[in-house]
Amino acid sequence: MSIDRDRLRTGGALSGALFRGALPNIALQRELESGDVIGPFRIVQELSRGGMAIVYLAERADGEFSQRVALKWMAVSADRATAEVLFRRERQTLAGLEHPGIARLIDGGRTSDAMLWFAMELVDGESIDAWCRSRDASPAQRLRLAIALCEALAFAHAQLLIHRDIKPANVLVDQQGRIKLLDFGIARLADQNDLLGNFALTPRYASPEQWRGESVTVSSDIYQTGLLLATLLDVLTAQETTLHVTAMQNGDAGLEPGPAPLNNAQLAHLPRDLAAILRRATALDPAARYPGMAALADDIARFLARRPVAARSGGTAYRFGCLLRRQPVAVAGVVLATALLATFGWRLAVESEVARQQASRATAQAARAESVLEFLSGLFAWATPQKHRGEEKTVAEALAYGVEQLRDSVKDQPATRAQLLYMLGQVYSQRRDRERSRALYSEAYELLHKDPASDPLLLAETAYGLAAQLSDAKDRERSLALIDEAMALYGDRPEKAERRIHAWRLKAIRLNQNGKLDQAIAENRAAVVSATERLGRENVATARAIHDLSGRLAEAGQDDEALALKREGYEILKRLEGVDHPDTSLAAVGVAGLLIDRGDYAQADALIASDGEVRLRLWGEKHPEFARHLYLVASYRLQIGKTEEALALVRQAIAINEANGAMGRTALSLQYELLGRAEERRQDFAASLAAYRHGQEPELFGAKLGWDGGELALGEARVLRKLGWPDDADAELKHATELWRELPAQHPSRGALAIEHGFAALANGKVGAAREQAARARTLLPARPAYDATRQELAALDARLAQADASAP
Amino acid sequence: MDVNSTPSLTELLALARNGDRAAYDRVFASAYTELQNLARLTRRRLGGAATLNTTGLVHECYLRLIKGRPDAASADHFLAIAAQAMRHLLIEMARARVAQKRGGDAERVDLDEIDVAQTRDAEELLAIDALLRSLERERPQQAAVVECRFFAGLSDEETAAALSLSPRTVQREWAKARDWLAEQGQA
Repeated sequence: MSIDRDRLRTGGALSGALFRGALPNIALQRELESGDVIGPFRIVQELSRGGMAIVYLAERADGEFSQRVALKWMAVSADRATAEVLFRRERQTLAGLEHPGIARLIDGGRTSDAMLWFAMELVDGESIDAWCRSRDASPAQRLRLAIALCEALAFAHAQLLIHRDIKPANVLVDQQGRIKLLDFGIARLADQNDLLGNFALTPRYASPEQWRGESVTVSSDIYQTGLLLATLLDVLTAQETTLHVTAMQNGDAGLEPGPAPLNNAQLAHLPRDLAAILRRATALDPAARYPGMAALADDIARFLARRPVAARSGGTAYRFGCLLRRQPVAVAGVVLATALLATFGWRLAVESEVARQQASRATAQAARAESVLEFLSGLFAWATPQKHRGEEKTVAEALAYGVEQLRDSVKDQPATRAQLLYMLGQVYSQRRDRERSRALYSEAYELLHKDPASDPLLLAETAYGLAAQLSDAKDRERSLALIDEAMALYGDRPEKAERRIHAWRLKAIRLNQNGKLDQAIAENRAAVVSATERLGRENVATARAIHDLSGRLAEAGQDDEALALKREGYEILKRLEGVDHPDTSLAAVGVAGLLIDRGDYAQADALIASDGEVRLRLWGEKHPEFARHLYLVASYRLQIGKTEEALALVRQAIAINEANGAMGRTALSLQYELLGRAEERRQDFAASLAAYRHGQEPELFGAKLGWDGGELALGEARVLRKLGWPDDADAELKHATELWRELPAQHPSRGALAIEHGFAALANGKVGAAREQAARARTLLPARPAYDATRQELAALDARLAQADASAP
Repeated sequence: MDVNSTPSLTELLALARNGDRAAYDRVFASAYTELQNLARLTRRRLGGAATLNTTGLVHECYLRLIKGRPDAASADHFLAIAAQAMRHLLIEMARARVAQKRGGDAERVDLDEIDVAQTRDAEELLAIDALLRSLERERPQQAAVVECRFFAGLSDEETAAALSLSPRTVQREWAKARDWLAEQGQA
């Protein structure tokens, strides 16, 4: 065994993979050098370093397009199993956190020696405190930045995400004076990784509960925001903030380490209302702080508008205190609960100002708000670690418990109960848990219906939410009725116009699922007309309605209009969202698909090429979204007879998706189907069979294969027939028929299925039955070039039938 | 040594320094245990050490064991013993890793890059350890320096204090030992 001399350096034994892998909980930092490649990124230079991470400027190392990111290199070697689980669970959530005030998480991963890294949007700006200093910003300017920060945080809290590490270095202000919050979720990832609060957090800005090592809620973010504001208002200098902490830390032995409250001397130079806001935001007791980010932002705004602030009215705080005394729950729970309440209000807020006012009026009804609070506080108190021998419950478990609790509580207050049910239903629907969401919406709907005084907009949302969950054949009529009800309730309210169009589109989807394509087209047309009138043609919601209509027209064979509309939708999106937007890219592929279907290859070429470039730019060449592009090109090449090219492309797409784990998996069955077809085309039946079979592997694609599974099974049956194994082919054919049980009767794929049934009948000597199947296939197969290959199979069947006739006595 | 009272780490270190084998074993054992504990370190409170660098590990271990006011002389001596414990710990981990690779798992083709990296690392550590044992017979001072620097991550100065040598001697011996090890490794 040769020994690398470079390995023989100070601490060399400790920096190897073995030791770091075994000691996941100790932060051993390995530094990077420019040129090092981490994931798809190459390190350019160091930008900054802190207690737990070094931030590097990095650029994409793969592909031709350039993307520069801030790569955060954690001083942490993560335990493998934990890291995997966390990444699967959290990365997706964080990736969905799209807000102009929050720096986007682009990528993240774990190196072979188990080091964690995150690539984040590179922000050109300076830290909020430096920005205020260098521009000598007025107090009002500083307060407005704080409001913007609260809004970004409220957005994240609405998705149950807590920042945990708010400090000046994490809040940048860009050239346009807009704030950008960095490092979202990273502290949490690090913390859950058992890397301990003590390594992950910045002592100077840590909240008292963080010091105590308790589970942290949105209230901790409020505390940190308050402290940040105090720094911006020169209540605390950076130096004092440090003292503020260490004085307590090394103080009396009997005292817990943690921050001291802001004192009167520190606040003396501020207006009394502003001092009250800071005091309330940074109260050591989480229950005494603002209930949510929105409340803090409101109070700052009220101060700026010279209106009385809630922090000094005492009312809310007093009520809060009473509530706590009455119900001795974990304080953290109460605060998270209130944030959830704020969430509910917030969701409505994004939809419109009008709705926001209504929502706030609704929640202002003290009794009701308090009951909601009590319920949720119980729910989140349940989820605190102390109640489960230190084991923190997940949001999913807390929600499940909440649903259970809801059965028995607030029975006497139907309005509150309905609101809670709707809220939980919404959370479950976002978590893609159809069944639970359906049950909750359903109960909320019943309650709201019984109550003549119920809020009509809440009823509309609940009806629409429920309708969206009812997609099974047996539920569709009900779903349609609910959609109509929601649409009627939305009525002419301008702020609900978009919502109404969404409902309309859903209606068309349901009608189409019921096989009523003509009616669906009529509804889609009406939705487009209405959207154009109410929202304008140049509108994203209108473009989506156009997109839907086009798809349906294509299904009905009205190709010309379908293409014209698909093009229009694409052009609108291009203008509104830009070429480099995922929606635009998807629309481009839609147009190209229609062009290819009709054999208009020259035009398709240009679109596909430009879409390829966009995808490469957006995602890089190793991403499933780029694989999707390769798949499209491959199927196109196969159609125009360039089999070898198609094979190479689809193999490349498969390689990308297989390397991408779960993220790429959903597309794989379709790609294997294409691989099977390509191999079949060049007469390599063994390879084709292997591809079709691989596409059906349950461990790869889950038990439910659905319609794609039918395509794979049919391909397998066809190849087995060509290989001369009719019995096996028969079994596969039955499987395909079973998988396609719900496929519409007139679907072109049924034509391909009929051909194979024809061959099977012929093999069994049933010439008459075979002839019927052939006739059936003839009527089902569209004349488009996309079905050329299937029509060749039909020709082969016809030839065999002619032979059978000739040899018949 | 009085069996009825528990001697402090400082006392044990003083005894060990005077050649008491039992005291040395006890220090070694507690250093070893504490290093393992550190490895299992889980939730702790805020305000402790921030990032722990490689050198910090042994120091942290000492601070946790001493529980009182650290005294410079015994801390130095402790470092030497802890370096030995650290080497022991690492070699034990490496053996376990290599044995696991050759044992029941042999059938399975494990393509996990981390596994591969860790096994390669373990094999390298075992090779260095074997060479170090022959170096111990011929030039024990160089071997001790390697132990402190390579296995415990101690600096020149710390190594010098731990082994009661001058920093220049440590530097010289470290350079020589590295050359020798690298040369042997190539052979």
